[in-house]
Amino acid sequence: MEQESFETLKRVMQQTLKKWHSSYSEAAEKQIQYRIISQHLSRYPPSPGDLQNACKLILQEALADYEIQDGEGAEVLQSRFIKNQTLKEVSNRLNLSDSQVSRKQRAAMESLLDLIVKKEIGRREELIDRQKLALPPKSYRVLYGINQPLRELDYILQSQKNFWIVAICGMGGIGKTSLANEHARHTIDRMAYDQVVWVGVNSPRLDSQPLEPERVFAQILRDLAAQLLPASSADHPKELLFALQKLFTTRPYLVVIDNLEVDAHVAYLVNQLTNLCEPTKFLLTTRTQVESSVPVHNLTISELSLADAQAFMQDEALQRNLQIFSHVTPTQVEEIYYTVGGNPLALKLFVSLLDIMELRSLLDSLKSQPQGKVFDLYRHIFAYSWQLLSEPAKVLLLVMPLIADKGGTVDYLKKISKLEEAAFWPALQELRRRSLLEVRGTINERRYGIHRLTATFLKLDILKWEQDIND
Amino acid sequence: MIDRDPSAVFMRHIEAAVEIWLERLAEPGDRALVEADREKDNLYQLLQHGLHLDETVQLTTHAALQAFELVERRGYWDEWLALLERANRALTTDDLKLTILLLNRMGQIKRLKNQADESIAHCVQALEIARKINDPRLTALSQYNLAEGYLKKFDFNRVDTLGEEALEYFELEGSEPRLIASLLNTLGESARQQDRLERADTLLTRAVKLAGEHDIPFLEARFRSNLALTRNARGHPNEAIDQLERAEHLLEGSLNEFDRVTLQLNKGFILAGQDRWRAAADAFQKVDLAYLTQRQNTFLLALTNTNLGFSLLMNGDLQTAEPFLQDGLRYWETYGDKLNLANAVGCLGKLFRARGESEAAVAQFQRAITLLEPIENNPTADRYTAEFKQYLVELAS
Repeated sequence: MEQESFETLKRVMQQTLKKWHSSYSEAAEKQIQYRIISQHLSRYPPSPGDLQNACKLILQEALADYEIQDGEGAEVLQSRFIKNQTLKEVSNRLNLSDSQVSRKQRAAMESLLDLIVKKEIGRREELIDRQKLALPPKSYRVLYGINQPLRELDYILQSQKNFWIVAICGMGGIGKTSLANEHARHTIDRMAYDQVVWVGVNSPRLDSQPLEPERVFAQILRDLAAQLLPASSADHPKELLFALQKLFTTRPYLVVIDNLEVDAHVAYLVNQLTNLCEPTKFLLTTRTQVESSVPVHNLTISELSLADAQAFMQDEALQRNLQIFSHVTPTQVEEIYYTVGGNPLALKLFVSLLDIMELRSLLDSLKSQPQGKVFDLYRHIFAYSWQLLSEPAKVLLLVMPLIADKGGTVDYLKKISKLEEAAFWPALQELRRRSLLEVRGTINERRYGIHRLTATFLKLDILKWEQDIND
Repeated sequence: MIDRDPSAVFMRHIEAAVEIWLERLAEPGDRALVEADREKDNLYQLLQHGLHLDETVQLTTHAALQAFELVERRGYWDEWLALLERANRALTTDDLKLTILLLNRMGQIKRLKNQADESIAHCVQALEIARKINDPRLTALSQYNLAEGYLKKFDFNRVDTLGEEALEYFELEGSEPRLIASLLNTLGESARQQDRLERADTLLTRAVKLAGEHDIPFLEARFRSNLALTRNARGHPNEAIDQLERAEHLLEGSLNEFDRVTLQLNKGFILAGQDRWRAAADAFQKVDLAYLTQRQNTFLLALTNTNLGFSLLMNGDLQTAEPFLQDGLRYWETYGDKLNLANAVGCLGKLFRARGESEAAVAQFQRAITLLEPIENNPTADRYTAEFKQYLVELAS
């Protein structure tokens, strides 16, 4: 963290202590950037009195802590500034000379301020950890081709004052969620916002008719309130909107709304979000570009470049311990790229096939697919992945269409698949290795699910359904 | 080899998952239901896929029916109705018993959604099939559900005939206390609404006792809530409040949002009837509006907001009352009930009148009267019209 900023924190604290019985004010913006101060504020913008009270609370806590390591030093500070005693009074009471008390005071002040800076750093680390833990787990180890879109996202979200809503757009498997996740993590590290919040929208389900946009929006409000206003008694969507509006329009938050698949939801949502913007910003992930009268910046994710695709495939091969990939020549890599394209999910599946299948025949087979039908090409790659799976892995994969977006627990998957312990875990590992299974849930409750595209492939191509009922 | 018939493996998975859920949903108590509720997305996903395949429809339907207590108590009516309708379309004529159970549940959901005619149509169909296959238990079950449907239509003769026949059967069998208690409640409610208050009290007291003896707290609470309305009508408001408080206690921490809503509404009505407006407003304020919004229950949202606004108005909270009355009005507009909409508009007129905003009050009363004009032969509409006209006269002078 910037050295200069902590100097401001030290100055604010020192002045507050020195002017304990009079008023002291420093620009609010300079003070509320510090998390130990802002955590004591109940309203925004805070009055100078609110800020002074917050600083006094921090000083009192810090003095109590400091007293443990240097009782006399703490007493000098207490006596001089809080009890408002003169140097003479303190030196007489402690049986020290005036200059000794002066030296002790300076040293104690120095140590106290260092302690407060440590508390600030600790508070920041705690907030960073807590926010990152609340994000969905990363579905990637390293991201390729991300630098440019990440930079662009940073630029749009930090510099473009007229865009409060940004949509990451692109087809399934292209990496929208991963990009949003990575951006959220970077942003949390930089502490650019008071808080980064993640809300996942469930895919349409159950009765083939998608939920009405109003209900989706109400659910998003509820999720946000559960994360940001856990003690609030507000529960009606209107009340929630009001409470969140108060929060979002006074302090900067970054809200990520992931997995918006229905155009009508996006259109409705964007209109509603305008009431919640500024200084808060919203980052959406969606398959299609947002067309709205409201200013929304669409950031379309392109497929990986040849160089990124190459690096990505090499990394995938390395992770899977696929020695054979090191023998693939640059010309062959190019051929793979121009055949499969740069969709990370498709490339992952392709690489995972190479431990068994011959590159030449795989490429020839894919090339025989009609041109221009990307989806069909992926289906073809998926068909190969399926063929290479062991029986238990196939059994387990066929459980997955029965699992909702939130994922299924290990116990549930085991019971349905009826796989013995000895077969279950290798099957699960195999599906992970072939990029067919995704880890979901939290660190405390692991769940497993599959990508929507994988579910569609399973139903259309393996179970031979005419259409995917989840679409 | 799985590739020879992956569909067979998938169907076995559906069967295994259905077994898990049948077992999970058979466990009594709130804890099991909370656990099931937490995993309900996976249950939806399973049912959706299970009902898609002819081979698994029958088994999956059992799970959909087994989940009914969770559905009823949490208010997942729309979602389940879609599933049950799909199951009903997919079931073959060999599954007549299952069809009867399905039709009864569909009727029950329609009734909860205030769609009495459709509810009755489902239950009539169920009763016809049950009689055709000569199944006395399913006949009695369908009679019970049909009686409940007719209760919504205030067709008390049919309620009493069907209800008593069904009660006689279940009492003779003596094996289903939950149904016996529910039938006593239906007949008790019918009696209460016919002003046969002593009979209502006897029947509802028996229903309460039976639910208590068999440790079915949410039913006991439901029946106590109805008993409270009876005691209030018999001129014992304090006993009524006591019954409601006992019911409230029974529902504490349970999954029965819908029952809690009904209970608070009943409490509000009883307190309002005693002119205890502050206490009535408190009761209406306790109605879980978030739950009603989530379940899109426009009728109860309209009813709660209007009554809360009116109680606040009567308590003199003239500023606080307005947003609730305005919300109530909007919900009635959506719900499409002209009589209640006119009442809500009139209430807003009364609020403006109380605040001394005569012009706004006149506009609301005039709008209410216009809304009431097409409603003929309705004593309540006539009463509202006369009341609002009187206000207009007062305001003109």
